[in-house]
This record gives sequence, C-alpha cells and structure tokens, in this order.
Amino acid sequence: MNLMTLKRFKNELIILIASLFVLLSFGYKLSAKEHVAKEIIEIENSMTQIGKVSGLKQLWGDKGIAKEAEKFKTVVAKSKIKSFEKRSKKMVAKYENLNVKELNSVMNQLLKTPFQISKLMVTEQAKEQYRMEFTCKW
Amino acid sequence: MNLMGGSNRRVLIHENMKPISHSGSIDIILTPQFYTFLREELAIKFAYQAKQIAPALFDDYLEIGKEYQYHVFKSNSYWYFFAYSIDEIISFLEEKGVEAHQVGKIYFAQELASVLEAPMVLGEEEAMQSMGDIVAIIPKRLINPEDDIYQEIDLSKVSLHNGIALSSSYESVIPLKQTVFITTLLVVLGGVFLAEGNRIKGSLENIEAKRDLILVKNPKLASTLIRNSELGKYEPIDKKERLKRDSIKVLSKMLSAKSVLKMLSVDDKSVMASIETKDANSAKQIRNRAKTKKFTIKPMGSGQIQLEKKI
Repeated sequence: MNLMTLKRFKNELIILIASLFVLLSFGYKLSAKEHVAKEIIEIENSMTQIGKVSGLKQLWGDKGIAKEAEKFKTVVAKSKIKSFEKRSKKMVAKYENLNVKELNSVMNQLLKTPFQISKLMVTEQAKEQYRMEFTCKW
Repeated sequence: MNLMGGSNRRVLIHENMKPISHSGSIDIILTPQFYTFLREELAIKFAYQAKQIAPALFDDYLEIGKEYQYHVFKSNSYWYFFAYSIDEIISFLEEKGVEAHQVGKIYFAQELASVLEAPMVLGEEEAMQSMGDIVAIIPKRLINPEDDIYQEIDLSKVSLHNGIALSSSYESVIPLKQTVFITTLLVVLGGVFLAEGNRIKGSLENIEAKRDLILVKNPKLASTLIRNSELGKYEPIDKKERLKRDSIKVLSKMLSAKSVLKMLSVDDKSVMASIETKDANSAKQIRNRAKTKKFTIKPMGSGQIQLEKKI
C-alpha cells in the first residue's frame, strides 16, 4: 500500500481506525466486566469461607469451652451424680436415678454445649428412672 | 506521511515543461491546459452546494466519456468552478518524472490572475496571461516580439489559498462530511465504552474493602491453604455433631404419654433408641415419623421398636 493509496482512502482509513478504537474499547469493557465478575465471585467465596471457618472455629475450637463442663455438676442434685471426671480435653459423667425431668435437663445441657459426644448411653433403671452416662471431648 | 500538506516546492505544470528531477514532495500549479474554468455569480451559500451543481455547469464544455473531477471556491461575489481530469494530470506528471505520491497540493493558475497582468512564457509557442481577470493561454505569435513584456514569477512568493490535496481529487466512497460525523460518533462510543470499563473496574473497590475489613479481624485466614485446612478439620466435626443432636431431638419428639424411652445410645457411628409403646396406634405413628426422618426400624416384639440412624 503506497502513500497515494493511503491518501486516496484517507476517509475510509480514518473511519477504520475509529472503528478499531470502538472495537478495542468495547473489548476492554467486556474484559473488565468479565474480570470484575470473576473477582467478585472469588472475593465473595473467600468472604463466605472466612465467615464459615471463623464461625466453626469459635464453636468447636473455643479455648474457654472447658469451663462449660462444670455445669454438668450442678444441673441435677449431687446425689444423682455417680461419677464425674474431667481431664485434659475430655470429660466422663455418670448419673443414676434420674427422673424424666432431670434426664431432660442433663440432655438439654449436653445438646446445647458444643462438646463432641464420643459416647452417650441412656437406659431405663426402673419405671421412669434412668441411668445416663456420656463421654465428651473438645 | 504528510496528509496535511506543507510548504513544498511549487511547480507550474504546462505541456511544454521540462522533466523534473526532484525526489521530494511538490505542490503543482495547473495551467489552463489542464483544466476548464467557469466563473459564475450564483446565489449559493456553501461550497458543497456549488460542487453539487458543477457537473451540470460544465455539461457542454467537457469531452464526453472522460472522467472529470471538480473544484470550487468563492472569491468576492463569484463562484470559481474548475473541471479537471486527475488521471490525465497524473499520467502527464509521470511522463515528466513526478510520481503521484510526490504531489502535495494542486493549485490552479487562475489564482495567479493578479500577478499575470504581463504574460509569462510557457515554452516556445505559448504564454500565459490574465485577461479580464481570467488566466488564459495565448499564442506567443499574437504578442509583438519587439515588446519585451514577458515576466518571470517567483512561485514560492505568490500567495495561493485554494489548493486541494491530490487524494481529495479522487472520489472517495465516504465524503468528508460523513467521515467527520461517523468518526465523531465512533470516538464518542469508544470513549463511553472506555469510561464504562473503568467504572466497572472501580466497582471492585467496595467489595475489596469489605474483604479487607474481615481479614483485619482474621489475618491468619488470608491464606486459602489455611482456610481449607481449618475447614477440613472443623467441618466434619460440625456435620457429625449436628446430626447426633438433631437425631436426639427427633427421637425426643416421637415420645408421648403412650410411649416410653427404654434405651438411647449415641456414638460416632450411629444413634440408636428403643421405645416401648402402649398401643398399636402410637407404634404406627412412631414408625411413620421414623421413616420420614430416615431411621431404620426394627420391631423387637412386646410393643418395643428399635430405631437406628447411621452417622
């Protein structure tokens, strides 16, 4: 393409360059949109993950949770506690002669305390009298 | 590439001219040998309107079958119309050693009218002179050789205003006016796209600020590896413990005045319960409920049902 041809098609060349500019800027807009959409998904995922991890950690990895074990000593009368053992990150408790209300109290306390229940056994000793023992860790 | 033109060497183009040995750009001044000229006093306001009627004005003056280009400009109250054949001019210039790309602007000798009161020599037989404000070619034999009236003109010092670029002599598919309009539209559109793209990119800042705020409270969780490791540790615990607790709650809801819990056992593998019912109706209710909650049901005889769910 010599200079003459360029001069001859000057108008068309200008429009072609302007069209290229539009195409490139449209491409830029599309790529920006795609990039931002990707980034937003990534950031939202990481935010959800951070929230989830910190929530789970707070629930199951709370260092002050050991104190909650003491509540199992007072949830029913001392006479009903056959044994209570707490060491390191583990507790074992045994109850006897629990009536239905007492059984419910201990059970509710156990369900709302974020301990990992390793073993739980409830058996009927006599009519409406229950024996309960459980092992938990945290 | 000089699309705008500049102050090039000016060359007068006439049939008896000598070949040119100039390698740079030149501006050419066409003598009347290369154009047909008309001067009209018309009530036209714009040059493009004058250019539109130019072919009709030259109807009886031009050769049929030859392609012509037109140029117009206004001086005082007159419109000056020029018809010329660019192909003919280019081919003549090539014969004289000038390539088309060397041609910057094309002027018409009519613009020299004011300085051609005395004739100017164009070769052996012809001269050029302004007659009644119109530049024309006259045979030298009509001028008395004893009158030494010929003049030399320094073309570089003559003021010329109505030059045209060689490229604009050719009929462009898209006229200048439309080119300007389309180009403006396209540039504006492109600008809008660019601005939109920048605005979209800027919209990330808000969400990034939110994430950074969360990370300030949990700096260790900035790493995906650490997050995945923590999730791998706590998620299974959470899932199992929730399942155990939900199962115990479901079992407790199955109990009523007509049923008694005999045994409940929970470990890391299963949740198991034995329930004694006082009538068939309550046993049926428990079985139905247990089915919907995905417990395995084992009848134990004497009104007892054993329910089990794997963890």
